[in-house]
Amino acid sequence: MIGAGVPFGAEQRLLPEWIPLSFFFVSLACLPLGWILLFLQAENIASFQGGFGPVLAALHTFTIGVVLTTAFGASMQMLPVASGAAMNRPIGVILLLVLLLSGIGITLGGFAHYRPLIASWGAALLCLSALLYALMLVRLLIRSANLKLVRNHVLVGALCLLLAAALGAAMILNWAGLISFNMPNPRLVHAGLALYGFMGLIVFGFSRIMVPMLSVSDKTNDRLAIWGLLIALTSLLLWVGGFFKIAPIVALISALIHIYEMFTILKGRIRTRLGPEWTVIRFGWIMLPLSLLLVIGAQWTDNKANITELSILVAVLGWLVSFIIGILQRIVPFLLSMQIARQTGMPELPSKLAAEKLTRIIGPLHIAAVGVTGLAIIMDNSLLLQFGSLIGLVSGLSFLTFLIIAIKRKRLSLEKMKK
Amino acid sequence: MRLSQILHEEHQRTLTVLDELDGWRGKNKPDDIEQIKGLLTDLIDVAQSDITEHYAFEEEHLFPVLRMNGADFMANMLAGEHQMIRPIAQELSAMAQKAIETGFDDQSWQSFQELSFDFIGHETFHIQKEEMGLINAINSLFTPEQEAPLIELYKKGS
Ligand SMILES: [Fe+2]
Ligand SMILES: [Fe+2]
Repeated sequence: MIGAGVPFGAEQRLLPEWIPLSFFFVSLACLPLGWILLFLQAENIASFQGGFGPVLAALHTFTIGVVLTTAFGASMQMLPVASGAAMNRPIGVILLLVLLLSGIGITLGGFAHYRPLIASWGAALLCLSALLYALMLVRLLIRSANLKLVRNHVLVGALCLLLAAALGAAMILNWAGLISFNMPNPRLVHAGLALYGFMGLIVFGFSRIMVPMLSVSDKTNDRLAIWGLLIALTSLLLWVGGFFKIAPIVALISALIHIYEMFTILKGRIRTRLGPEWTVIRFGWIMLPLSLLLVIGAQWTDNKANITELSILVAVLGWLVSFIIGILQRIVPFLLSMQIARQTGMPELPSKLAAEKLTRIIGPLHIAAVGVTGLAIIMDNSLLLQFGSLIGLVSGLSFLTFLIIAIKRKRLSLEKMKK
Repeated sequence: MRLSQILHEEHQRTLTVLDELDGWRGKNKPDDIEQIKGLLTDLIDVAQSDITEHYAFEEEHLFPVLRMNGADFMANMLAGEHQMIRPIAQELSAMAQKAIETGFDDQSWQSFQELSFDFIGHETFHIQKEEMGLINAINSLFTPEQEAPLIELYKKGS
């Protein structure tokens, strides 16, 4: 009478805990690191044109160090847990971790020190990790009957990742003189595919599982989400096709649809008291359309007043990193609690593992950091940019501390429960 | 109506009461017991029907099916949580009952609050996990025909 797989049963869904924690640890270590790099490069940010060098390294500390790493870790662990898909073999995920980490380290090093050959090695590793990730993701999606909420988003997202990775690698190899690569506006296409194509669609898709789960709501709207995805796909195609003025306008419609769905989910939740982490999540949601408005502004005004730099800041730190900061504050204690349950049969309340005082400052400090650095870019003031970076640094370090405290509390609670 | 929907609606009902209860977090005791009497009555209702009917139904009819399908860990964990929540809910109901009759004093308000937040924490987390997996699982584990007698049984019990 019963189908082969129960979409349930977390013991087949939990990776050994060090694997997801390593992803998240790296991500949270890159967060303060990125702010330090931003601090050090404050004088060069305003003149940043996307060329190789330390500023590009700082940017990629956030994009691949924080965002991509979290996306990889969360996909491999949270998709199975939240949706009941059978997970990938741990050895595959470990390989992914190794490829990603070495790729990030080597690529960033190559960027920062103007070493094209080294960056080429890093790019090769990152491309391999993207390929492995895409394969494992497709495998996960195929084997689960229950992932229809995210399947389409994630598939398109994975495709964008492969394209963005290939394009990034091509630019690096070109820089190294290993290939000769000619394409109009490769940076813009790479950035659009990576930020809005891959990361955006992964966030769109995941939010449809994570936000209802964390807020205990069932107000998802599948039809609307499919429309949003189709519109997003259209805008990505326009962007890749070089219609830079039209594409972000179309993307804005898709973004507004997503945000509408998210706020509807929150509004329809059963439990009304939301923790402090939701402030920074909501802030992130608002930053998404703002970033697109800035992209539109940049494209229609030929980048007056550093508006491109501002749009990148708002998209990466305002939208994506804010969302990650908020969601990870919930995911980490949740996963640790499930690990306790795996060993003792009884989970600990996630709220007991979360350092509450820190959750009250991490989000607000991050928001302040985004605000101050954004203002600094508008005013072209490097001192203010440094000040904003310091605020971000404190937020990032607080979050790293939050993670370490949660792991410590988990150990204590495990000892207590075993007695 | 599908079985999953019935259970889901009961979860919602419980969470609604828990949410109202949560509204009293950190507040002083009500000046007049009438201010909170409706909530206390709902709380007793929900706590009693949860820990008797709802939990028992899940334990007798759903968890065994989960176990048969290899989800022992989840079934055991959810059942374990029931065991843990039962005495909390029982004591909380007794406190609420007593308060309806004789009101709160500072001491009893304090212990009522502490226990309330224990109850809210554990029950919310429990429902959150069931909503994640169990509710979807039921739909794929039972056809509407298979679950019809279960629904009958459940309705009779309540
Ligand atoms: Fe239950
Ligand atoms: Fe239940």
